[in-house]
Order: sequence, then structure tokens, then C-alpha cells
Amino acid sequence: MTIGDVKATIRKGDHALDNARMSIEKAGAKLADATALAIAALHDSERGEAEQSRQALREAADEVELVLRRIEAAKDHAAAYLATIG
Amino acid sequence: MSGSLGEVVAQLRSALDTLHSAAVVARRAQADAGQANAHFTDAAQGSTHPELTGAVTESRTAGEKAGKLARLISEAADSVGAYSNAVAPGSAPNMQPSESATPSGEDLLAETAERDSARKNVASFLSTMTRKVEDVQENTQKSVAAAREAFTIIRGPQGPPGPQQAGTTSPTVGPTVGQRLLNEAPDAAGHLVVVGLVASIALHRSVQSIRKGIARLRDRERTDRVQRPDPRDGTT
Repeated sequence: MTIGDVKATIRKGDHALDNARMSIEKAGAKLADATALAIAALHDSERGEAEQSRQALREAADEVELVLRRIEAAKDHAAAYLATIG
Repeated sequence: MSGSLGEVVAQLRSALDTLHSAAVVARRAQADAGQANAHFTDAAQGSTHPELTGAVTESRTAGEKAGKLARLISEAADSVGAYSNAVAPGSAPNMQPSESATPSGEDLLAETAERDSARKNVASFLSTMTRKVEDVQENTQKSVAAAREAFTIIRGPQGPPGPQQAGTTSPTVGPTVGQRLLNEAPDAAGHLVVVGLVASIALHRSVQSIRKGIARLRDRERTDRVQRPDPRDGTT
């Protein structure tokens, strides 16, 4: 693989990460919408299912941030490598 | 909150639908991260450069976490569905188990198409903005129409008031109400703004007319004063 091939391949990977990020952001927005609706509908119910729902929604929201961080980290590494090979 | 059971079920149903589509999008992200990882692995053949291995590792973790996100969203949907069925049995009949969060080919195609059009939208954003500036005048006319509509909404001529939704626990009615709520939410917000504007104009006008009234009263007082001293002057 030539340097040019390597660069092109890394750029393809970076582009795929852009797509991944876009999807995660969209999933996060949908999740936020759904959470707002669900929280309103659950009121302050103390039923087990309600508490479980709230917790599951919270966990999912936390995971959105974690995925985005990993995507950014991968993009940073890819950019740094592209910079070192010029 | 005094929402009827029908409203609650409708809200839960909308939340469920949105969660299911969020899970599909998260799966799509997982596939993209996997593709990124394949490219980076490909490029890293015979290289031990830390940045390159870092990109390989992080993109793999990103894919795994995107998959975990999809699973968590589906689990949340399961819990919400369970609650819905607990408060209104049979209200979430199409409850999808976690496994079915794996999107169908159709779902993924729809997602891709949507995303491509989103990208095109960004590309044409600037030209659209230019056009929009020219449309401002037209939009002003539209706001007037929206204001009229807003008044009808406030008056609420359609649909009898009262607990008409109390018995609508059937899931067929639920989602439509929920969807309508969802679809109309931004519009309603827009209407509220317009209502606010109209209200402030109305307030301004009434303040003006009150001022005029005060001015008129003052004038009358003045003329009274002018007129009253006259007879007094006459008597003294």
C-alpha cells in the first residue's frame, strides 16, 4: 500500500466516523424527545416499571456521550496520523 | 397532572415509537463505526504507529458502544412498554423485544436516504438562506394567517371540551393523538409566539386608548375647571 493509498483509506475511515457521529447525534435527539414524552407520561409514578423506565432512559442518555467521545478520539488519532505522514 | 389515561397511553406510545427509531439509528452508527474500524485496520497493515493503532482501537470501541446504546434504548423501550401495559393492559401490543432492535434492510435504507438528503440540505443551506431573505415579506403575510389560526386555536371551536378522551384507551386512537401532539408541537410553539405578539400589540393598543381616555378625562376636568369657576365667579 502506498502512502497515498494509506491516506485515502484513512480518510474513508474518517468519513465513516462522520456518518457514525451524525447517526449517534440523531439517535440522541430522538432519545431526548422520547424521554421528555415518557417522563411526562410516567408522572411521578412509583411503580416498578416506571422507575425502571426512568433509569433505562438515563443510562441510554449517558451512553450517547460515551459513544461520541470514542468517535472523537478515533477521529483525533486518524487526523494526527495523517499529519505525521504529511 | 390531570391527563386522562388515554392521553398517558398516547404519550407512552409516541415515546415507544421514537425509541424504536432511535435504536435503529444507533444500529446504523454501529455499522458506520465498524466500517471506519475496517478502513483503519486496513491502513494499519504492517504499521505500529501509536496514532494509527489508537484510531483502530477507538473506532472499535465506538462501534461496541454504539451497539450498547442501541441495546440500552431498546431496553428502555421495553420498560416503557411494560409500564404502558401495566397501567392500560394491551396498550403496547407491538412491544418489540430487545433483539428486534436490529433494523431491517428497509429501515437502514430509509435511514441512509434520510441522511443523504440531510447532507444535501446542508449543502444548499446558504442558497436557501439567500432565498429566505427574499421570502421574508411573504412570511410576514403568513404570520398574519398564523395569527388568525392561533385565535381559532385559543377559541377552540372544534372538538367538544370535556373528558372526551377519558375512554380512549384503545391503542388505535392513542398513537394518532400522540402523533398529532408531536407533529403540532412546533407549530403550536410558533402560534404561541404569534399569540404573544398579538397580545402585546393588543396591550399596546389598550394602553394607548387608556391614555387617550385619561387625556380626555383631564381635558374634561380642565374644561370643568374652566366652566366651574365661571358660575362661582358669577356668585361671588
